[in-house]
Amino acid sequence: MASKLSVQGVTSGYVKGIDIVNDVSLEIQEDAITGIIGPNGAGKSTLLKTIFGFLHPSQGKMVFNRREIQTLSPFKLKQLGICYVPQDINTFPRLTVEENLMLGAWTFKRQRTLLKQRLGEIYDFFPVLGAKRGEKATFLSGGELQMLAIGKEVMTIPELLLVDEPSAGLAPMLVSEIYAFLQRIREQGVTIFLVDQNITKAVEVSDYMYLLEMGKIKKQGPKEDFEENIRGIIKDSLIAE
Amino acid sequence: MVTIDWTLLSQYIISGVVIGLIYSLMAMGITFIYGIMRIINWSMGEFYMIGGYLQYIIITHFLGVENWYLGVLLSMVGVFLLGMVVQGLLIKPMFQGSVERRTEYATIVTISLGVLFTNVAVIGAGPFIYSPPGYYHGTRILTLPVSGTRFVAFIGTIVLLSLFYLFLKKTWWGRAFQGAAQNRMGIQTAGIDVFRLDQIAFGIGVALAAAAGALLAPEFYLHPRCGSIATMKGFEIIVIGGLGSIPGVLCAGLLLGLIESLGAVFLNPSFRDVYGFLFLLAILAIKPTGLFEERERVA
Amino acid sequence: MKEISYTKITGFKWYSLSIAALLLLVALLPFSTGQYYLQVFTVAFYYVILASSWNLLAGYTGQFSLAHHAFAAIGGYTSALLVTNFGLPIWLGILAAPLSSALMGFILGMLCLRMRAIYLAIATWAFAESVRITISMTYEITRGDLGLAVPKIFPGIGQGVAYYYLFLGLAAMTVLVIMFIIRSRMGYYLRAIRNDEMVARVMGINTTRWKILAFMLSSGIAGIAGAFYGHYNGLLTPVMIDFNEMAFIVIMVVIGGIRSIAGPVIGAILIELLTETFREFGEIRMVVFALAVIAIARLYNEGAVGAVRQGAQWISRRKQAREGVN
Repeated sequence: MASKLSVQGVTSGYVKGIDIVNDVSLEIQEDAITGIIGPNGAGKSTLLKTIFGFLHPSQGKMVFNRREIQTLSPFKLKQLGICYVPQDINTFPRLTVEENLMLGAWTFKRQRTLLKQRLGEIYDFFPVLGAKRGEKATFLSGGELQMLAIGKEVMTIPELLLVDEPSAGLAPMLVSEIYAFLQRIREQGVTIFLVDQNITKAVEVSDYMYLLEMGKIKKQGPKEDFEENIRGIIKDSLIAE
Repeated sequence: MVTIDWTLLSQYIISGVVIGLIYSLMAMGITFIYGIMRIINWSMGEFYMIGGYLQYIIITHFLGVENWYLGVLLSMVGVFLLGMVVQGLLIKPMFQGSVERRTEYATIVTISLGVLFTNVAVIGAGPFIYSPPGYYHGTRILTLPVSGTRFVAFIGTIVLLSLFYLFLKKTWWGRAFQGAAQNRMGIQTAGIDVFRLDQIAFGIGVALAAAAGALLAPEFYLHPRCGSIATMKGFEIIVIGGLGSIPGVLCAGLLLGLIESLGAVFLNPSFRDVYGFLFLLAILAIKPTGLFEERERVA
Repeated sequence: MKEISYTKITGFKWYSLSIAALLLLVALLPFSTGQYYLQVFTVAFYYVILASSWNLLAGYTGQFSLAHHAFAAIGGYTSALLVTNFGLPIWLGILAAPLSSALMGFILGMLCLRMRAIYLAIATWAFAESVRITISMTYEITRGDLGLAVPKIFPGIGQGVAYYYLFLGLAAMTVLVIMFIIRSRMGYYLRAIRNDEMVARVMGINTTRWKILAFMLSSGIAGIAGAFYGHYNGLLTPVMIDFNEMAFIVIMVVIGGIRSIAGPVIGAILIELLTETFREFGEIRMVVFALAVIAIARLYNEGAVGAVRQGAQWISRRKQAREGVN
């Protein structure tokens, strides 16, 4: 299978001299769900931010569709087909659900029919959003907000979707719904790179996985490698410094 | 018992409302820029002044007084472009990592910009007072006879504020600006170039100030320091109304106009400006964030 | 803006020698210049006091107040009014000035305690404008724009030298006091507050107390300066409380070097000298100053002091390289 995104020797951080992500290399395969797990502070979110251009690596490079992207701005990456759902709920609280989704469609805002179609598709999959489409986002519950946040970013049908902790703080039923959604869009041809604290869930849904600790890749492999050893990994990550 | 002359009272009220609304235009620019970039542009008054001068030049040398409204539009466009340039050179770097203490930097730079513009104006246009020809004949608003200029300025303000409102609520870019004020990261993940947005927002903000300057030029005359009063009223309004709140600006503008007017009627007319300021100090002491509290930005 | 840490520049000997030479020059100045430049320097020293005291609050404590000129005016008018209306001796009036300005500083400080930088700027601006309007409006007392006549400390003409040394002494004292404060525990607390107020509080620093103290000190000093100025100039007008005066102070401190002790001194003297020397160039002076401030803030934010520092470091590095070769 082809590599969608290739991260090569990337080092980055928020403050010059303090590296959170340390010489990380990984490959994200097309049409697959790649998961990355690791203890708190390992650098998973930072890695995602670096891929999406909020941080620029001090070393290394990243190649997407045969194009180097490490110096590009976030909005450019969105235009190239990478979408990012951050850890904190990324919606516009005082705009309506529909306005939120429409802003997600900015890059193709002129294509009215496509826009309507996409909106319909999102409402189909998340009926509760459809029901509340005229309400301001601030009135939504936590789970609904997460759906809105994801829906907003996938309005453009990404080639690569970066998701940071989709299940954080959600009730189990909602968690299943969200993961079902991710698998559904994977079938539509979206490559997914997923960060998750919930190791069991991550192993369940990913095809290939990475374990990040202290900014370095400690282990990688297909899900089977991780499945067998889940207990051990959880234990290690809890004890990790 | 004081016998109230209702006609006179209503005239004063209307007069206060009119002038308050026009200053709101200025305050709208200040608040809009703050909402997007979280900075205060201390040189708004100077953009007001430039707008007035541009308008004057356009109608006296090119288009003639009858086309004053075109003059207003053109001076808005001119100042919009100037604002974009200024933002790109001076403000944008604040968001690209090269500036450490942002508020301090923005204050220093915009204050200096104000000084720069004022003095360039003196050099360029001389320390004289220009009196642009009136735009319209005297008329009435309800019970109040107003000068043609004030009437024009009032209508112009209403038109501009309405257009601005429609722009924000109904257009794609307007929604983007609303979004940027609420969640900057969300804008970037949506694929919008947030720095471009900043630049345009700054341009729009100062263009609003320029519009106020162009509309009020015949009323308050043009000289290099004419912007400082507008700045003062503008800041009074945003303190009272609350930073970053658009309805706050409107309410506060009307309130300010009313307070000044009524104070002038019932108390001492020569202390007109003081009443607004007393109210402002009261707000600062009681509810420093203004009547319509600033909504926090999510990201 | 990066903080200038207090480091010694290439050898204590050169540093203290040059300071001493400068002081000697300054002390002997009256013997070589005429009345005009004597006045220029006197006013420059006045601005040194204002700039330094503002820098204490804004540069070191991080409270970017836009009301400093108002405290000078409060002090000036307090003293002037007490002396002219109640017949108080001048020295008593001057003593009363910082009481009123520090009190106002206290009030303003309390008002602004929890305010973030933006609101602080606006609140202090509003305060200063209120004072200005009050002074203008109560013209029956303050004579408003006509100006308030103030009895002079050294009456009569030809007292330029006396005033020169008076203000020189005041400026020197101010700088020494501020230097003492900065190098003391309080200075450490102030700088911590500026760096990150929340962290400072967590560290156990009583940020409220030190912020209020910084406000009161800087406004008190400004008040004294204003009072002395009134009794030197013989006339007080609301021009001194125009927003331009505040802009002037900001310009002086930024060009000289914010957050350094020498910065406001250099900036005040430099700007005042340039302003007077090039008087015939009119508004171009201000254009140049404004551009300089913008450039410094935008590109190279340590002002004149920073330039000197960098120059000294460059010299020492060259010296070391040469010595290293040997």
